[in-house]
Amino acid sequence: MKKLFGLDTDLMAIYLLGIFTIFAFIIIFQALRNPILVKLAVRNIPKRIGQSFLIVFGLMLSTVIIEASLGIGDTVYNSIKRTALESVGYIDETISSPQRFSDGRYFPENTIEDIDSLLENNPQVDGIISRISTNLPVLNTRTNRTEARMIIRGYKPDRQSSFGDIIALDGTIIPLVNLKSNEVLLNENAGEVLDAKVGDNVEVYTGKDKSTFTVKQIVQHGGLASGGDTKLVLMSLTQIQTLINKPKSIDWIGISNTGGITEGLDYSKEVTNILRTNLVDREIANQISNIIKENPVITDINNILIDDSFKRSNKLQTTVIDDLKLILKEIEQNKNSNSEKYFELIANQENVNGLIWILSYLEYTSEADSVSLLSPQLNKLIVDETKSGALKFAENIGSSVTTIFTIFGSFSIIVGLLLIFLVMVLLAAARSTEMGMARAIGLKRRHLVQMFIFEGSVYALLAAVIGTALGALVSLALVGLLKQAQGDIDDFPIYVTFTIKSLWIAFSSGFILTLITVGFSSYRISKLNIVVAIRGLSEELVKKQNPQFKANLKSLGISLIGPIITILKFKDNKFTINHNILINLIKFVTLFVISIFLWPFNILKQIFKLLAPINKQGWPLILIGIYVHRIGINIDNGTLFSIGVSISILGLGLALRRILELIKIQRSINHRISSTFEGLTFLLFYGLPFDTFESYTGELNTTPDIFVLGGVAMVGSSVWLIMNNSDLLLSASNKTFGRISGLQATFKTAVAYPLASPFRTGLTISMFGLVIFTLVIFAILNGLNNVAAEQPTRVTGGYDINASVRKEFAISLDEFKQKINESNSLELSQFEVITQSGSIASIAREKSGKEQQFKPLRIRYVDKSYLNTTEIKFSYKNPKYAKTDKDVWEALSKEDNLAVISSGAIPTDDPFDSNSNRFELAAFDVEGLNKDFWPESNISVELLPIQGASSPENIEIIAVLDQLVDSLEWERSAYLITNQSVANNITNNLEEYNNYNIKLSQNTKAEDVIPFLETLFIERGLKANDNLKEIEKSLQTGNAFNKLFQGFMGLGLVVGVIAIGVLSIRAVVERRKIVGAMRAIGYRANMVYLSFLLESLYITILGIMLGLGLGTWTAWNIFNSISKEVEGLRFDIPWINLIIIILITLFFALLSSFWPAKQASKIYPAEALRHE
Amino acid sequence: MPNQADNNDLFDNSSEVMVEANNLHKTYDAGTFQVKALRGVDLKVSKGEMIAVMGPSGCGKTTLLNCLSGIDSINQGKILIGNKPIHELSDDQLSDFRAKFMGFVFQTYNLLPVLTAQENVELPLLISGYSQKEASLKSRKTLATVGLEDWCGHKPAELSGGQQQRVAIARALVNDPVIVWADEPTGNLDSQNEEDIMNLITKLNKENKQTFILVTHSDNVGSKANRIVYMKDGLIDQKEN
Repeated sequence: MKKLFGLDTDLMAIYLLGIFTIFAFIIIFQALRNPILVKLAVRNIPKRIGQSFLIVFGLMLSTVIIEASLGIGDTVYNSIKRTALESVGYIDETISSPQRFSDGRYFPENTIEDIDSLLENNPQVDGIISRISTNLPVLNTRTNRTEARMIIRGYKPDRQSSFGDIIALDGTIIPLVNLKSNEVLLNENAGEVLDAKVGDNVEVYTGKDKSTFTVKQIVQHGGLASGGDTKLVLMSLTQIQTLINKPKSIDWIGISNTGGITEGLDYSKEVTNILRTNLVDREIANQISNIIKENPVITDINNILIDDSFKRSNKLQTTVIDDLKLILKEIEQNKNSNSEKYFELIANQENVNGLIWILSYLEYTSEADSVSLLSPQLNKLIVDETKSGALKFAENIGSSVTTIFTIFGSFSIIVGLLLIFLVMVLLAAARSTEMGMARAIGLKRRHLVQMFIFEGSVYALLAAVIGTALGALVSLALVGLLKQAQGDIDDFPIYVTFTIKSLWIAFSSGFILTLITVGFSSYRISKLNIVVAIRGLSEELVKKQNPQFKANLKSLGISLIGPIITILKFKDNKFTINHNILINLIKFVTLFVISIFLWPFNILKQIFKLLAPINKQGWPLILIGIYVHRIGINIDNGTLFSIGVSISILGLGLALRRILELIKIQRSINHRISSTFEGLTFLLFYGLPFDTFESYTGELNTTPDIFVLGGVAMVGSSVWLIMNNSDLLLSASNKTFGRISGLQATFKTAVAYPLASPFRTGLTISMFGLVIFTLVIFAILNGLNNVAAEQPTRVTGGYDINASVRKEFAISLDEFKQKINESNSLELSQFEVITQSGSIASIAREKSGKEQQFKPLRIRYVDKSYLNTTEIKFSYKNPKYAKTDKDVWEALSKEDNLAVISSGAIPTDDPFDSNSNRFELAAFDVEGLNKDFWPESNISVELLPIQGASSPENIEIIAVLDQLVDSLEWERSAYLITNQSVANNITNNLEEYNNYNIKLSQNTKAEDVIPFLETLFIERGLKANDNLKEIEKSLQTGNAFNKLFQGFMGLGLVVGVIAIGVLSIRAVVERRKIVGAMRAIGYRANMVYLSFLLESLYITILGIMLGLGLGTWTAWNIFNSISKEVEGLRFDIPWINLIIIILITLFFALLSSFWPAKQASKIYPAEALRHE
Repeated sequence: MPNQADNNDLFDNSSEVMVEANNLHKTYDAGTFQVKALRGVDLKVSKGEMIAVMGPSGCGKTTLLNCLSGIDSINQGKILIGNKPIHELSDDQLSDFRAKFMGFVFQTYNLLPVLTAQENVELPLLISGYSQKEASLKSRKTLATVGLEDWCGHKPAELSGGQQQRVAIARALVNDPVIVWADEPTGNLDSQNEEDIMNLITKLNKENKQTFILVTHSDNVGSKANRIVYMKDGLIDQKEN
């Protein structure tokens, strides 16, 4: 995988190697200098194996999640890549017609000779081949097995040599040139689906006719025989030309670059450019340059392209912006005739689209119009970097999968880091006496830090190694769940993959993250008071000294000359001076390099210390927060806006503390008021509906990281609120559950202890809270998809079956009915309604829209029967035409030039939606959409077919389809539904209807009808789907994906469980004497046991309740946002799902505290009371 | 309120001898060697008596206290509390016995730091089956007895050493025990506090007729007792007594 979060993974691996090396070097160097400290640090590890194991297990979780995310990303990437390479074989570039999805896709066979001439002396190309590819129904006469949409490909046999051998299953090579006119080859998939063997006869249907061929061989996948899930019949070009009556025609030219399957990629860009440059319509290209070359157009375009704020705010890719700059440069430098470079660049459709966009942006409307009209004619033939594109696709998908898993796993990663912090703090607490004595006898603070870092490094290393290995196993499990989620959508093969690079990234990032957290917590721990530590007193007894401003200023001054100080100290320090000059030199250089590395951090630290008294007043943070949030609004970044507000809230909290301090409010009351204010304000800010601030900010762009930020902020602020008002919680708990007879004494201590340790308990509650929060949101939102199952008519329109044939084999309604009537297996009475529809590709733009660029918009044209019987609903309707949904369909049937559009055309702020080339209605790009909304002026759209018409057709959009209609689709798409007259006006080549929506009569089931229907129309290649089954399949897939994510994020619960275990172990040690006293005053052993268990249960339940509450709240906000667009959604909490999650969590939390609780119950009172 | 009839199964309050120990032996295993902490101790304590057990460090005072109160086991001998042979009771029975009939005061107070003074005092009552309401009432009354009625809601960290020890005494007395065991009750206190605490203990002993057994190094404390029992090398020192 090449990219992760937009960063190059090779570069990432190198940087991580650099950081890892520096850290390792520093640690090893310091270890060699201070072997005693190392001994002191690591001796505890083998002494307490159980504890060490628990610590390593807890620390490794972040690494597990990172490796699992990378592993599954690599697997998906490699699977798609292998399938893509198998499918394309040696073909690097392809040439096809712009009308490649219609019957107009054929072009003269001798075009290949032009390509031959073009690339004749090019050493980068070693083969050119032509073909026709189509799909037709095929029947094996021996087995009667059929395939309605078999891909049939006919290649020019004498050009096969550079495109790899076709190899039979038995290993023999089968040159295409050896095929007789009645012989074909089947690839493995085709052979399987037809259950064919060598010698079988297969019938290929071409509408009313059929041709019979003999299977010469079944061949292996790869090269021209394709692969993946493609079912393919191979023949010669001449055979297929005869079959489909397209003499001397081809629809495709393939080019193989020099080298093997992957080596040829290196030449792909160059070869593509050569082809594009020569295949572009130069006349049209010149017309385009004439439109933009005059001032002020060209100057304005140049200026906008170098404007930083434009670069940030638009959707154009950087490559397009760079190419446009070059285009303008070429135009300026070659005023008389355009250069080859210009033709090369303008031939790229992305660049032309970008140009149109900029012209619209600059309000050069007529120029934009003109270029838009010329654009479809620019390329006579389309050149695609097929293999490179396929690999880019694989890369994008793999990277997206990893990104998604990492984003959702980031909660668990954060929780993992919290656990590291907690573990280090508890370790320090366990050794406070020892550390105090160490300081008393002369060890410096930095020695304590070093000791913890040495110990932490060992844990970090072990955790990184084990975590990486375990992460690989987890990714295997995820792949298994992914396969299940994929279901039987298709036979897409999944190849499990682990790469050294990903393993390294996981290992090193896990290690570094752990070490940084260890370092940070070590620094915090080292700030102990010696007397407090030795005597085991409370830290609160020691008043913190506020360092003087002058002292801080002096420290800052010293830090500015840090490396010089290092030199001077080295010179003066007798202990570092060795008699060996070489060793001295190495030590000096190393220390100097380390001091240079740490120099900026030290300066920053001193600056913060100096400014701390000012910062504590709060107003600097308020101002910084205002500044940051304004930047967020200006650059349309929702995350930055939220961060800015958060900083201001922190500042307000500090300011409030200062004010209350000045008016002499008691410290504890001051703290409670300020903490409550901070917690509540944060919670409200992140918990309010998403559009609450839109009147101030406008609609801001959000990316998936806002989800993580919001979750962490909500959980963190809630925990802050709870732990700073814990006495209220304690009182409430005691007044309720504390009254249960027989449990009073145990319950009292069980809840008092955790609430008296706000830091530890708060951290642990956060861990559970964060994970449960995400699990609850997922569970609830997944349930929203069930509306399709509950109201299927909104998806199906009331039709039971959707069937289609190829356009060339369209069946008229009369013919359809006649055939059914004549058949023995079906009766017309089983069919209540049969409606027809067809579709054509077009490009469109909104007349009064912001963008003047034409974008793809498919047109579905339907018959009157459909318009009269469909039960599809609408999200929005033009009140001029319709009060009810039925009115809309009626209007469509009565008036021409009216259409309805899919909900995919409504602009979305979905952070996961990245398709910038989709047609969108600017009229709906407003805030506060509700179901009664309709723009004041009519929505008019200009339509053009993909190729050919000179002027656009205008139609009016009168309604937007219910969002649920497309709920089964993987991604949003924009399309129109209209009557046939509109389609007729757009193209001269309107084909007959080839799609049929069928409503069956009562008591007739789709599953009974479909097999017969497909057999009846086999020669037309009819494919039929049971609509209800499709909905069911989609839900199953959604549920499986939900389980996949839940399982993945549930890993975070492991951290919470370990935290409980660690806390319990620590509690037993700390309270040994108190347990003795409790036993003395009458606690039974099982009461002590129960007290510890209840304590763990209490903390876990608090975390669960927090996550449950906040997750439900956030899911409610999301639901409210979605339900504006989708009517009929119900907010249902999947109690069973959640109860299972809760019970599993509680069970494992109890399990992890079982052993410490048992140990506590076995404490012998007399021994414990002696224990000091 | 716990059923008074239950008490009679466990304890004979009519006996004049509250504590009787016969030939007590206690040995600790310290790895490669053994420590004989008690080597045949015989002791009788009458009902309502306040005795002080004194002796040099390591003589077995605390061990004797622990064994007599049931928080430590013996290797040989008999212990009768109100004629009840407690050395035969199970761990749970001993816990119940302690909860109902005994009170403990420790040198380091051993109050639960996360509970308030009142909640600490409530604990023995809650263990014995009192309701929360009854326990609250009784604990407040007991704290008033030791002069801490205004400190009920304070945690141990907010109290002085003397106040903490008073809370510990209140905890020891709240369930009306027949015996109170005190191990160096004034060991962590200054002289003034020591005096105050001993006066309180003496007063309570006289008023409530509860048996007090104190272990102490302090002659001042010893002088307040009805009787001093000297120990040496794991035995009652007959010469001193």
